[in-house]
Amino acid sequence: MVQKRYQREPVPFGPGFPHLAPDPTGTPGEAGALNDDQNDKRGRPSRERGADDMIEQRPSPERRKASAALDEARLRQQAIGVRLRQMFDEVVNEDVPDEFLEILRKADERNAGGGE
Amino acid sequence: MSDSAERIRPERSAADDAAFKRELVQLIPHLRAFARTLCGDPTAADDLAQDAMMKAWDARASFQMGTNMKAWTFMILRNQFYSEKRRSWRQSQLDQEAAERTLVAVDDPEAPVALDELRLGLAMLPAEQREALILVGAGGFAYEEAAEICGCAVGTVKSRVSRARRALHAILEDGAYDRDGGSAGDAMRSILADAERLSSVR
Repeated sequence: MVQKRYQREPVPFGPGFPHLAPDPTGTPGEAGALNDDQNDKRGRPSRERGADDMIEQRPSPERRKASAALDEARLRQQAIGVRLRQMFDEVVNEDVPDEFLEILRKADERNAGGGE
Repeated sequence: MSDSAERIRPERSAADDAAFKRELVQLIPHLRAFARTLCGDPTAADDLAQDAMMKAWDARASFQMGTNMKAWTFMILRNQFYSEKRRSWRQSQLDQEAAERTLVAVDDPEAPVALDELRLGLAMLPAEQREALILVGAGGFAYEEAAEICGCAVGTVKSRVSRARRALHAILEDGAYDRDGGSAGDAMRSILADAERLSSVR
C-alpha cells in the first residue's frame, strides 16, 4: 500500500527535474505563480495588453485608476506571499524537540545492532 | 522491480546510513512546518512529522542519494497524513477545528495579528488548494515538485495555487474568516502594513 510509493525508483526527481537542487530558500514556482495571477487580474491576454500600452500615450483618469487598482492587487498578492512564507519559516526556525533526534538515534542503534 | 533493484544495489554501508541520517535531520524543521500546516494542532503535527521521519528512515534503501530528499519526505508525510485522516473519519470537522486550535497555538505574544488571520483564512480553503499554495508559496517547491508530492498533474497544481491565492485574498479582504470584533478589511490592512515593514528591512 503506502510502502509501494517509497519503493519507486527515484526517477521523478531525476533528469526531468534539473532545477531540483535541494535549496529550501529558492522559490522557482513563486514568480510564475504571481505572474499568472497578475494576468488573471488584468483579465486580458498579455499580448493585447502590451499593444494597448504602446498605442495609448496619454493616461486617461480612467486608465490611471485601473492601473492603480492593478498595482494594488499585485501588492496584496505579494503581501500574502510574504506572510505565507513567514508563517512557514516561523515553524522551520523553531528548535526541533529533542524527541525527534532521540527517536532517530534509537532507530539507528537498533539498525546497527540488528546488522551484526 | 524492487527485487532487481536490490540485487543490483550493493549492500548499504554505515556511511550511506550516516549520510542519509544527516540529510534527514536537516529536513526535520521543514517536515514540522509542513505537518503544522496540514494538522493545525502542533502536538498532532509533531506526531505526524515523527511518523514521516521514521517512515523515511525505514525506506532509506529506496531513496537515491543526491535526488531531492525534501520532496521525497514531504510526499511521505503527506501520504501519512491522508491515510491517517481517512482512518479517523474526522475530515469534515477537521478544518474548522484546526483553525481554532491554530489560533490558540500561537504562543508568541508578539506575533502579529495578521498571521492568525492568514492561518484562519488558510483553514477555510479546500485542503488540496491549501497544500498546493503552501508547497509552492511557502515551501519553495516548483510546480513540478508540488505535483509530484501531491500525486497530481502540474496543471492541476497551477490551477489550485491560482484559485487558492484568489480565494485567500477574497477571504482576507472581506474579513470572511468570521473573527469576533475584527471588521472587514482589517486583516488585509494589517498584512499589507507588515509586508511593507518586512520589505523595508530587507
